[in-house]
Amino acid sequence: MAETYDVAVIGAGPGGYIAAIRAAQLGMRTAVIERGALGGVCLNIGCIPSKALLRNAEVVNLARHGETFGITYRDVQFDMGKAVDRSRAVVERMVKGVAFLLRKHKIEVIAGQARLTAPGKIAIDTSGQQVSARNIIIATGARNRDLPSLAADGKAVITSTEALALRTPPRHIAIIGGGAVGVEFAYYFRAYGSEVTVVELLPRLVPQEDEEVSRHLERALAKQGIAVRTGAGVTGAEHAGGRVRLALSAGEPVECDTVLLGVGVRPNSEGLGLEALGVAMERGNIVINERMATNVPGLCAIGDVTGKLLLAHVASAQGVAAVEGIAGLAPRALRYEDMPRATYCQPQAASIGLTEAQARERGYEIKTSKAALMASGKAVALGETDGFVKIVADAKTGEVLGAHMLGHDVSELLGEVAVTRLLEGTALELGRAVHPHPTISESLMEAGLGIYGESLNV
Amino acid sequence: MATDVIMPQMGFDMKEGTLVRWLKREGDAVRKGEMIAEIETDKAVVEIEAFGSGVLRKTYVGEGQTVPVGYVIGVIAAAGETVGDRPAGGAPPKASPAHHPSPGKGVAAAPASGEAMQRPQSSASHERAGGQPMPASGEAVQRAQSSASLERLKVSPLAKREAEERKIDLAQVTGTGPGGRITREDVVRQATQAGTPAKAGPATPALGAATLRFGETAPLTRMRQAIARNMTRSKQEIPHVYITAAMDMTRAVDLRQQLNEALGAEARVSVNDMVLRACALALRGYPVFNASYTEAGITVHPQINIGMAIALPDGLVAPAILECDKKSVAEIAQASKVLAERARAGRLTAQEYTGATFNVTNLGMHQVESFSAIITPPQTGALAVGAVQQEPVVRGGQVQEASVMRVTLSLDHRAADGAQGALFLKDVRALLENPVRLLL
Ligand SMILES: Cc1cc2nc3c(=O)[nH]c(=O)nc-3n(C[C@H](O)[C@H](O)[C@H](O)COP(=O)(O)OP(=O)(O)OC[C@H]3O[C@@H](n4cnc5c(N)ncnc54)[C@H](O)[C@@H]3O)c2cc1C
Repeated sequence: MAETYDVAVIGAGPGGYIAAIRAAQLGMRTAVIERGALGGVCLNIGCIPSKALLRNAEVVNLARHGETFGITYRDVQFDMGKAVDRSRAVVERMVKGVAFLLRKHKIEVIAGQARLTAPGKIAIDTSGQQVSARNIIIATGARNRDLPSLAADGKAVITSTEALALRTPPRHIAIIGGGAVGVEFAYYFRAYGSEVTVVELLPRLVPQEDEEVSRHLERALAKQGIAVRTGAGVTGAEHAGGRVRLALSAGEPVECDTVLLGVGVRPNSEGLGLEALGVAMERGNIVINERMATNVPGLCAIGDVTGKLLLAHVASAQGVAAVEGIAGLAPRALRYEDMPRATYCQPQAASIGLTEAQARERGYEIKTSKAALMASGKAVALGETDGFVKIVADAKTGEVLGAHMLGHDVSELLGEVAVTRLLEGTALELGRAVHPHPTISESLMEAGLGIYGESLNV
Repeated sequence: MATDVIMPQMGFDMKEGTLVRWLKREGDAVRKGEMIAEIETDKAVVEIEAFGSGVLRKTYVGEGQTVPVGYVIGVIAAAGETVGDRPAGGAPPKASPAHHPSPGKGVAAAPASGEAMQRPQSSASHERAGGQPMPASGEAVQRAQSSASLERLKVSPLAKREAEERKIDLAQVTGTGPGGRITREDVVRQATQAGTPAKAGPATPALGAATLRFGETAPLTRMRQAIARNMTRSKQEIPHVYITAAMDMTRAVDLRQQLNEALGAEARVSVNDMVLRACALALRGYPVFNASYTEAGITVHPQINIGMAIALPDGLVAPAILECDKKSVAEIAQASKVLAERARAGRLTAQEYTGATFNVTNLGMHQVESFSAIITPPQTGALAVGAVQQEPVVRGGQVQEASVMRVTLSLDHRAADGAQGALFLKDVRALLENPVRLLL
């Protein structure tokens, strides 16, 4: 009879491995079961390799504009294969880090495909091993989705996973989906010289962002030579002679040699034995409450498989909340609107909290304030003046309801706003805190002061 | 997103609450902040609000049912959303010890890290507006001034603005954030309680006394309802034992006189303050009377918080003198004065309202010789104190005049027996008859 764990986690992505570490930290006997590589999508085929490639794209773009800095080259070459090699090296290093952390916390790592056979019982299909646990956390993530009219074939029609491994830029790539993933790849392939068309069904790019951010980003990408087709759905695809012709619901069809599907993900909730246990699901997403508990006692779910907010840091935060709930600690409710969101092309789009429109919808009387990066000494010095920092505040209390930013590395400013929200700071505190000069963070301070009509540099 | 409705904790010793009445039915639309149910704590009937908007899809607990703090009593979700037939997570969170194979380690880890978080915060949580140049606009100047007066309070900036907006005195708000920091939610809670007077129970002037007229029926005020419910519940559930003892208060009365001469008019000590002190000290040796009885066991409270019954125009409250055994007689005198004032002004904190672990009630000022009290659930004991009277006593074969006081202990016979009560009273007597021990 094998031992019984206090907590068994299925899936070692940013949700699962963080949950396991927190559980071990609280003194629970913990196991994590993973069928693939430690680190999940995020470390292996998501956040980390894509950010490594985007750094390459940024360097390539700087090199292309070397004259600005008085640097001239003859015979400059941009080897995308080497960029991919670098990104794999980054991945390898981070995955090793996860393995080390799990070892350090004496967490049992079990390799294989897990399936629940009864409450508290897991079978590892690949090895036949049985695992018992008082609490089980499902963190099996999600996988890329196809379009009804277009399925990935790994050749002409690819997903982000193949795109991360391409060693030469496609001549013309059409990217279906103008969300974060689509826009990041557009920026990357464009830097390496591909002709890029982004097709988005909704009327604007990064449609979940504040409208002003979307509009500004569209202009910035257009400047880089990226074609954007918004308000256009794919209605059909024809393959002919190694090329794909995409029919769109609006405007001319797009001809390209590669199609990248960036249309979202589907939860990995099948084959886990959830139906037999009566686990409540909604369109494949496991339904959870604010303590991450499912409707079945002793069973929690976190991360992409819950379909709440498909971001790595959200998965991790859910993991910590689930484990602390299991340990009987006072639950810290996650406010999903307080989760920071970013798109890592340059200029970056970064946001947290409510958009202007959402705040109005919820009946807030609001004040907004915007600081253009044009006025930031640091942005000018960097030669990256495109963008702005915008704050949406409650007109009554000054509460920072949302921050919406576009600009060079502005995702790094999200932490400051997240802390402000957590500590219930207002725009006044953002404005009063002395910020280092010259940094782009000063724009956040200016925007904060701007809520009270007291901006100093605008 | 589905939001659970949970049984809230309204004071540290509250372990369970009774669902009195659903104000919304399954299927009713609810807005965040709307009152959805009435629950009863040991002291008062309290309305609880929805923490999310949507439809009250399920109620898991029926009216009259008692469940532990933290138990999911219902769920609010969108109309189409799937909700469970049972509360998600099944057992209430407090059943979690079973999940803990090595509780020692797990339990120790949590408070330790909590403590580390609080320390830096206490020094950084308020701003020194006085040290900064005044901002230009009039509005901003106002803001700066109001924050200066709050310098010693740990309070979030947003809570501060919210309090200004709602005209709430932050000194009256109990903070629930890390290290007792006042959050916006705390202010909003206070504001809604003030707005609906009876919410936290008694004492707001608006509540007033029901005017009774001959030949008419006056509706019950919330406080009357709460008292009626609590006392009925007590008498139905708790088998009371009453034990009366007389004590010679001659030396205590002398000591009190000396103390008051020394302390001055401002800090006058009453006989009741001495009784409170004696009880608190005696309770240390009889934890069973500083406890709560449930079928799961007898829970001894970590602090000795003595509730002091205070009569109000329409009923009474018994706010707690927190950690009474750690206070000197003079400190108890001070605390009881402040509590009485605040109780009459309706400005007690939630912990004072609900934190008592043992009640003392005194009718001596009305020349009552002795009487017996009903235990306030979930306490296990109460002491009823009569007047100090001049009586003849026999000392060493001689009849002498002495100051005698009678007290009656009511005890929960499920938790303790008469002999324990008698021994407890013996300790109380020993302390009051040798009152210098109260000063140690
Ligand atoms: C290209 C790309 C870029 C992205 N960039 C970002 C970004 O910049 N920032 C960000 O926050 N998010 C980003 N994301 C999203 C992010 O990767 C996910 O939100 C995150 O990985 C979700 O974590 P998770 O723990 O829920 O699941 P996953 O990371 O998907 O991990 C789930 C794990 O469970 C395993 N598993 C599944 N089923 C079983 C089973 N039955 N038995 C055993 N193991 C199983 C899987 O093998 C996998 O390792 C990106 C995603 C993509 C595709």
